[in-house]
Amino acid sequence: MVSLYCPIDASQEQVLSCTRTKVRLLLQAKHMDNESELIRRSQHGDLDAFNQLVLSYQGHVYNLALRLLSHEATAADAAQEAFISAYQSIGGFRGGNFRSWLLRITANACKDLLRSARVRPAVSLESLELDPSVTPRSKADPPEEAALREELAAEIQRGLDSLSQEQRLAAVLVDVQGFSYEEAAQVMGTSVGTVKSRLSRARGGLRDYLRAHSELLPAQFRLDS
Amino acid sequence: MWLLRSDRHRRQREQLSAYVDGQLSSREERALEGHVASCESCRQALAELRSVVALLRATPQAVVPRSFALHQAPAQQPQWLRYQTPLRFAAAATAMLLVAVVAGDLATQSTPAVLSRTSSAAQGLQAEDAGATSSAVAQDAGELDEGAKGPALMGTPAPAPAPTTEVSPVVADVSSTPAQAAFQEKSVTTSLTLNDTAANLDEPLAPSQAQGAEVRLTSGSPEAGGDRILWRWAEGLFGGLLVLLAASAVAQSLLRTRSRIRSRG
Repeated sequence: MVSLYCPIDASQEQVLSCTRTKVRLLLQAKHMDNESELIRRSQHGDLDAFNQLVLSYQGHVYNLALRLLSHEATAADAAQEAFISAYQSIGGFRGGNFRSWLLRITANACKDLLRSARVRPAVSLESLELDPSVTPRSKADPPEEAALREELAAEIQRGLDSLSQEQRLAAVLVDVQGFSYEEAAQVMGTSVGTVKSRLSRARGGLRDYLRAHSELLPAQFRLDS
Repeated sequence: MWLLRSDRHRRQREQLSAYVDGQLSSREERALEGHVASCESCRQALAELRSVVALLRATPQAVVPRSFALHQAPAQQPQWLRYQTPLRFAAAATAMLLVAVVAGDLATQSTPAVLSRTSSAAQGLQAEDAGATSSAVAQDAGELDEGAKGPALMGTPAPAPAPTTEVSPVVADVSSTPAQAAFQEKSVTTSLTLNDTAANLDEPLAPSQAQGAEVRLTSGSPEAGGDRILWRWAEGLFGGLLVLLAASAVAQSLLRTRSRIRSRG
């Protein structure tokens, strides 16, 4: 819990930290206000306002679709379909967390795609190309390091693909995208308890997968090391 | 004792994942830490779990390949369609109520049929015509035969050549005679409700045989007055609502199909 109270005898460092927190919270509140306004305008058919929301969230939407479908082109189609559905039904959005609402539509769009087009993630995995420029590494990283990271990311994606749809969604939301249990529950349309148990099973399944394929992992990431 | 310990061990193992995310209560956390300190396999499971979570968290975010901004606005749902879920529930509830009302109506029913036999109809009674009588009428008669309440009036025998018996409202029970009378469908005049008519018509009879037919006339129950009108009002009201909701559902699906076609085109 962040305290906004700054005692009179606070050190310079404490005052600075307190001020930073206040500025961050103010910016956050302004962002929320701005978002509510954009949603309200979108509900009245303002496409430009909706496109601003698209630009804010397209990274989340696309990444969720990519992790669930394991295929770039299909994930892009799912993301586009999700934004179209979101625009069509934004009138039904009754406040709350807009990101969760949008990602729920995305997850449903991915499920529909998997069901109707019978996309098989394991088969299409070869075409998965993660952009190395987004890999969190410094410029000084040697090319071998980058190759290792890519190899690792591909292996983790294969592990995710080995899970059931529901377990994969829980693992992607909480572990890959860093959502809280509550927000993941909103996206999945279920309870926090269910998220907890699905996540536990997903992690257990991944552990088993990585154990079985440990020879494919870079040495420093092997579970038995 | 061993079983108890193994059960506890299993429960603690399930909680490891929530423990890694700090989702346990402080009491649960203390209990788990105590168990992990003394259990080698749980300690190893916890370490592996932490590695898996760290690996997942280190997964890089992919760059968006293109902008997903919409160039053309797809058709938005009309305002009233935003209430489609409550509308569906309302339609289902209304349908159930309608069924309940109709069922209640049937259960409390003791309404008589209006049966009129004109002499001309009776004279025209012929074996082949009688065979064409509707089966629904025959079924209703079976129910009403048992369910008819109120005092029974023994009607005068209705001779076929001049059977000008016209009683309203009455239930004609013609199944009590060994030789059952048959009537033409057109000779049976139904009242407003569909299930009022009663006549058990199994075998066609010649007019001469029908002479011996004894017609028992049962009067309607006393409650067939104001209550009945109320029931009919309720039926009409719910029926109308149901039709309205069904029409709205059809309109909704049509509009949705149109907007889908538009958004794709």
